[in-house]
Amino acid sequence: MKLRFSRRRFLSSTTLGAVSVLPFYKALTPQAQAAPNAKFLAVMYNPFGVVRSNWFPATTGRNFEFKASSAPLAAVKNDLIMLSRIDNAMGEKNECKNGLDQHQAGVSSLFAGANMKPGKFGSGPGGPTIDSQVAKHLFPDRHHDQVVINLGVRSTEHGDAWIRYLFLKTDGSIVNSEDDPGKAFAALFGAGGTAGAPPAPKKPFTGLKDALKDDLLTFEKRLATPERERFQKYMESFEAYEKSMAVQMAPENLCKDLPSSSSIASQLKAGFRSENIWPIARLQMQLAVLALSCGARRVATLHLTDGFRGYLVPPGATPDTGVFGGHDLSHHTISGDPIKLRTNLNYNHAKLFAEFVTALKGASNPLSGSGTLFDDAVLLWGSCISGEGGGGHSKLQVPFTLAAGRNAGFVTGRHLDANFGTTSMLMRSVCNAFGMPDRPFGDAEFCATPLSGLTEDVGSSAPSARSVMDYKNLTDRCRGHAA
Amino acid sequence: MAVRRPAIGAFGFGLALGSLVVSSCSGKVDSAAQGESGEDAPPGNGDDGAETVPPGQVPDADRCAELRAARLLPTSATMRRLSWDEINNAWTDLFPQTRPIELAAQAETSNLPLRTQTNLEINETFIRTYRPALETFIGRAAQALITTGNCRSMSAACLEGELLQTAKRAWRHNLEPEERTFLQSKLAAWTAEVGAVEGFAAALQLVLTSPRFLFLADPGAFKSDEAEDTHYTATGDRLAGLWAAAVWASVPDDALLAASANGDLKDNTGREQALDRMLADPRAKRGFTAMFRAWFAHNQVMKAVKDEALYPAFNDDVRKEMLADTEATLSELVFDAKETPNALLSSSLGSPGTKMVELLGWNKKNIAAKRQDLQRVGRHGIATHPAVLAITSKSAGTSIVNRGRFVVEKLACGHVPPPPKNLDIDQVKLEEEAMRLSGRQVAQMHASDPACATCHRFMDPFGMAFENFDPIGRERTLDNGFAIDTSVELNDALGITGKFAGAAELLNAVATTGRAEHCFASNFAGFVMPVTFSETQACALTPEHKNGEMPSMLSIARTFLLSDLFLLRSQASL
Repeated sequence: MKLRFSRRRFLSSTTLGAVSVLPFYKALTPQAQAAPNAKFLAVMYNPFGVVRSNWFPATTGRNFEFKASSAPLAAVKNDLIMLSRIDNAMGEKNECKNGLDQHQAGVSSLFAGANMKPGKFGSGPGGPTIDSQVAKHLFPDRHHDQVVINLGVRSTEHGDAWIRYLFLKTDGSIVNSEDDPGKAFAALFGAGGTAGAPPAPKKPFTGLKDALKDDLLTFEKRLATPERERFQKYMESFEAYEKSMAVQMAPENLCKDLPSSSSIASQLKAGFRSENIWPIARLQMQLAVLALSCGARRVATLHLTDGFRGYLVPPGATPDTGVFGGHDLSHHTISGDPIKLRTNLNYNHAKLFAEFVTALKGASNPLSGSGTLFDDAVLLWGSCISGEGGGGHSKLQVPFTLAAGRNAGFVTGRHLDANFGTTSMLMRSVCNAFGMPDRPFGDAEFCATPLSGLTEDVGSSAPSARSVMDYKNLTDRCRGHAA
Repeated sequence: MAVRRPAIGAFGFGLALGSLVVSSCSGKVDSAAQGESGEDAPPGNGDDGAETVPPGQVPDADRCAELRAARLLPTSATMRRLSWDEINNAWTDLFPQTRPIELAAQAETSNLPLRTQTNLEINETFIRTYRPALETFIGRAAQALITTGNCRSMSAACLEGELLQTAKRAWRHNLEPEERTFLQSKLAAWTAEVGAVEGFAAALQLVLTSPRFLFLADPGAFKSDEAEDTHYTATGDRLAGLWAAAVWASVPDDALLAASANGDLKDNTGREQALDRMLADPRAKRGFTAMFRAWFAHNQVMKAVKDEALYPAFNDDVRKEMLADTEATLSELVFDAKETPNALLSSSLGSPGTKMVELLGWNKKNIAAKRQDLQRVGRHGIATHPAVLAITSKSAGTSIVNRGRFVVEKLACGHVPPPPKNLDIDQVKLEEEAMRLSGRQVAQMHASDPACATCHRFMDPFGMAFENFDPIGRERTLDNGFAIDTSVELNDALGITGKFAGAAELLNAVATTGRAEHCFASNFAGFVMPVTFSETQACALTPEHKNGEMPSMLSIARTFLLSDLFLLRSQASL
């Protein structure tokens, strides 16, 4: 794997000529600089939510206390907005009105705000998710994988694939988050890691594309059946690749802090065992920060999957020896004290999130000479379903936390009662922070407006519309959710 | 036991994907012609105007004999992209001294049941994997040729010779004058611009990014293809390219292209000699391996995840040994033992590795890590291989449904319809049942549900017979505390009726139906041809039996590769 953002490529671009680089760079500027001005997005996800009574603060506004499982967030309290009474309404609809699987309905709707993709059980989101939408906005002609790093953390047995169908690219393909930190590292920085200096500058060579074009033309003329469409697609793909390579030579994409990654490289030998879930999660989080800090990517996602069995409650918890799946745990079908175990599990999720925010605050910003990466960043964390007493997978009142730097336009340091707003409305607000045109995120049914109260110093959003969903017509099971 | 043996013509529908469509899980044949994925049949499906077989009915065997003689041909598929396997193999064959890059491992997300235009697209995703890998690989290859290979002198003549030789094989034909001129001019210009090594590397990249390499042409694809009466014939270079892809999953070698240049591939004798040489070459094992992988997907064992608490020793080393066991056995059956397709249902041969033997608890005194008869540990055909048992199981338990479907769909080319779309599965209840009951008991409960009964009563017995194997293929006597019961009863499932004590008896019964022969033929033909076959053409996929004996797998493949179905294309589509 090559160093995709190497100095070699940058240096060679200077001799390649500004022709290939400059137009893109200019085209990028107006959109990227629109206000508000968030430029980096990180998304974190964990399945099966929280024990609400141990998570949501009792009071709203600035003066609030975290609960037992959310306590680690206190370390970054001033950098976040903790949200309560926010519904994954599209997920609820997918289950209760469209009759889809209750798990996948929650997973696939959360960051897409859309109906689950039609098809067999577990086919994924029905529209591009927030990571790919923001990436597409920032870099319209780049491929998803050039802008986004999708990282995963899975237990030894990660369970059925459907729980992984969380993110969707704008080209309609499912994101398969990279679970292996070693492979993720290689994808970002090259298989050889970062030991030593970048490769020596290489004299640029530009003749291949033109020669291939000639070759395609002469080849096509020999064909009995016109294959123009296919060869045109081939050439377009080839040129898009060449262009993307040129784009990666742009100054913004230079990794200024690559040597620091060597500490990560040294940890990559960690085995892939359940016991290492949390070290691996931290490693993936660090890789995400590094990728953003280097300018190698603008969007990072950290997908903590569950695994039916195998998701270790971290050492130190009580009891700390069990191997449980988040699913079993959420249904309280395991021995021991499920409330306590879930609280411990969420405590560690919160700890990871707090570390994520702290790491972003400590990382350099590749787009500015001063300030930190966090200044231009939005970090969104949520879960798709949440149940209190082990009774199911309600998509209502799911946990969501938003951390944002000073340039993103959000007023942080608060607990905000979303007042039955929806996760789609929250996504719409986040998109707006990146300068995207204000429009419904996903299905307009649950996203008439952005989520109010995020940019003002208030304790509660405007009353919103529990009526967006016709709860009266829900099935018995879903009425239970709504209750 | 009673077996209703279908006549050959019943296998004509949807053959390219190797599956019969069984309506309502009754074992009757339906006329739907869609693949497993539900995608439409790819282009090239011949319409020969032959009478169709009504659903559920089997044509007279004489009918097929009549149709065989009709010389009805598939239409041209014009071109398809090479698969990742083929690209990988071609790079290795073209530059044997260069360390290969595992392209397939990083790029192929699933096995392709059919190599078609639809399945094998060139898009940005392909380019984004292909281009950087090619750049790296060719960088190494050029260096190797110049530092340790034939062109240490780095003379222009040597580099040009290497380039043209590479292009001839990569483009699968003896180069035409303008192609030689094109490459020579680029090499000269680029070596002058960026130096000998980089210019040479760039020219090699051009060869391997050219459509002449990446697209495999079918007869009738080019204007220069001359039609004979109503069809096009794959002659010379074209045949060399098609055979290289079909048998070696790669590009032709110099000998094959030389045979083409000499006109040796124009007549049957020359063709037979050339094809026999190819089938005897070790590279043929590679081609058949690719076909079997697409058919059985047994290589998915490398991705199989098992519960660490229950199977702590199921690691990558074991996975590799399980895969090697299955692939060595398949090669042995095809090439060395020259077995009939029924061996896929019944052979007890195996080549286990040491860690696999240890994990499966086999007696090391009796079973060493080598090729041998494994009947004593229950081996009876591909369905009892640990690699297959592992991929058809869940991580902590077996799956009667998956194992049943493997036998029905993969080995007998039957088809089990998917569950109804509005099926409401209670995942929690399922898990609870699985925790307190045996797999057989859970399956029986589901089969008693009217919504599930028809299909599960059809396919579940084919899986229950394997319940004496746990999720990693280890023999067991208990399941969740309940004694294992592998006895099953079939009622006209796949045409079989009777009671069977376990997997061996059941598979022997499937063997008597003759389905394995047609299943092999249709999977092989479907894999090596980028077209589907009509009902009529399907009659010609398998050779006629001599003395009533089923032909070997190798013979079926050889006959097909020399047949009109492979060599000729109807003009209808052009």
